[in-house]
Amino acid sequence: MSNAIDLKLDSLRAAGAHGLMAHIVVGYPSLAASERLLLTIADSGADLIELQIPFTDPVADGPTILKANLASLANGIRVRDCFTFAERMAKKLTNVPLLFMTYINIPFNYGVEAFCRDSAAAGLAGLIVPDIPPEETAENYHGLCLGHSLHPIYVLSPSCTDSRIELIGARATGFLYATARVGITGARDGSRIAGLEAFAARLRSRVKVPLALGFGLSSREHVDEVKPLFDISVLGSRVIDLYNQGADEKAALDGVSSFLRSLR
Amino acid sequence: MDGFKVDSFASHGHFGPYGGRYVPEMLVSALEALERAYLEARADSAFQAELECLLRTWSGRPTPLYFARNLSARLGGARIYLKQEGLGQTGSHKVNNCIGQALLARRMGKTRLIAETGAGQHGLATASVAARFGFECEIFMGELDMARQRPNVFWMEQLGAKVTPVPYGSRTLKEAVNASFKNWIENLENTYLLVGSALSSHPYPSMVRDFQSVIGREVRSQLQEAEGRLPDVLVACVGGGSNSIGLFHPFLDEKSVRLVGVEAGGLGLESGLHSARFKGGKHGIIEGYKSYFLQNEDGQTLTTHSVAAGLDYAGVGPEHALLHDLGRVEYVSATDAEVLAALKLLMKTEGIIPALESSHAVAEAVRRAPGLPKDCIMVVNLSGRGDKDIFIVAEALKDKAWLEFLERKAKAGYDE
Repeated sequence: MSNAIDLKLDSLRAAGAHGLMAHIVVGYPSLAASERLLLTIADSGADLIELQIPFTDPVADGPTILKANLASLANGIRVRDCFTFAERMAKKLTNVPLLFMTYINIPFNYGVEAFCRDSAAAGLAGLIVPDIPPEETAENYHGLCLGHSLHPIYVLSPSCTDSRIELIGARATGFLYATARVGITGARDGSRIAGLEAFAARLRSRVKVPLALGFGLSSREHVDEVKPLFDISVLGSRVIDLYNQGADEKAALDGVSSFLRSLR
Repeated sequence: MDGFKVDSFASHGHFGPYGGRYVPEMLVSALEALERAYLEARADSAFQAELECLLRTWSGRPTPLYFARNLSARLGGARIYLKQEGLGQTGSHKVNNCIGQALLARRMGKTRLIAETGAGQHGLATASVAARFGFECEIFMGELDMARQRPNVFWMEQLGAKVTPVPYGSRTLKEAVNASFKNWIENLENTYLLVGSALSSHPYPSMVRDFQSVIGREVRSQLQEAEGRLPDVLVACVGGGSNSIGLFHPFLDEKSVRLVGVEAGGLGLESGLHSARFKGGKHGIIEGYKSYFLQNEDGQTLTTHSVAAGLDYAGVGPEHALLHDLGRVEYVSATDAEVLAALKLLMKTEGIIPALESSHAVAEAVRRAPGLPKDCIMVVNLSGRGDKDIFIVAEALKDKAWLEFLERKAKAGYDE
């Protein structure tokens, strides 16, 4: 059976469409509310969605997502809750591939093999674990992902040398997640993303899989810049910021929805 | 593996199963560049000569190895020597590493130093080398640690560093480590992350150990001069583990030398309020390296406790993790109460005020020395002096006169 990410990317390519990937932190602001947020995001046109399993030490995340991680943990969210949540959501969202995003200590503690097995069984299509470079085998994370038909999505940035891009590119399946800048996650102001064309060209000449771009995308203008160069735009912190700005939950969900719809 | 010394540069920073470089890809090239720069510097005699000169003339090395005659007599067992790292510049062993890394940062063309700090000793040492070498400097410190280590914050600021509070999580060292890492990711071009203990991603654990090994090398030659032989027991406190690995490393392959690391037992292991990673922790991969961490069933790091801010950390350096598994170093813990008693005993017998961190090592000496023969030589590393702890200690000892003094000063205010 084909992986849901591949099917989605094939259909986007056939339609000549640009993909949107959104991100939520499971359990933020509560498990029930993150379900409503997720369904709103899917309904507003997201093509893929990352479900972050909260972690106490998310090194690559900026203030917005870090606070959401800690708030979710303060709510008592456990890893097993994230699996239950993901399984329920995967059944509801048959046309939107879901990916777990987390840090390596979570699968390492769970048992990497069990983590991959249970992720696949829950209906997830891929994993994004930013702190596992190829040199660190971490109990065969890469091989176990593939063995369970999950795409291990790697994250690259403009600071990566050409040889690193080639090394990761050769391993990449599904798509590759590039960061728009060297830094941590977080929405930012300004409409131009520096050096984007050159970075895209550097990646395209060395990577065969589709490319996503994230970190700091926060406006329609950003996404318009990304569209001709990358296959997918990733909206993470901006969605959570918008959600947080809502006066009540309805306003929060409306804000997120109208933003995502405006990107089409 | 021949002996217990691991050439981690030949194994991508691994100490057996521990260590490594578990970081987002965007940091890999920065860490590779750092590793290359360090290996070149290490092999450069001009670099080593400048380091040696600064350690001697600016920092005050070698630090004394002092025979604690009164303490030894009081305990009635081993002959106890104290390695007085607190007598160096900035009052702790931290400066050894900071001088080395500052020279490296300058060699790499960086203009800004950032660091994390718990007790503030590493922040103070970083701020001092930044002032000495003309770097811009920012220190990340948990809000809780800032509140309890105000004297060091004051000095860091006077030295020209910006001290940035970290307001989330346990508001201690772990969050400061996290915040400094994030800031480094955001400022790779001009910034050098000066890691203060023998942990984090490769090459930091090995590099910090190399810079701190001056402690053990000096002990070796000083004891040779004083006693004409090797020590029998070495004792040091273990937070991240830099002072202890610095003391132990030159002796790792001397099988006759017993090595003892003392973790923070806090309010007791059964209370859950401690920082004893080897007794209460398990394997994990956090903040860029694999080691033992205090964490829950899911792998979320747990909050820690110690009367000594510098030991209040959920992880431990990866080389210690390997030495623990190999049984080469014995890891024990001392409670806050034992630590305060040891501090008082050392002050009263020898006229020396050790840092609360170092007092953990003293507490182990108090426990162990009486049972050892009189010709046994024990070296206790006093990694720092206790000036910085005056507020914590005065509070713990319920010193009324000090409290009244503070109230009087606060009421009087200061002239504008």
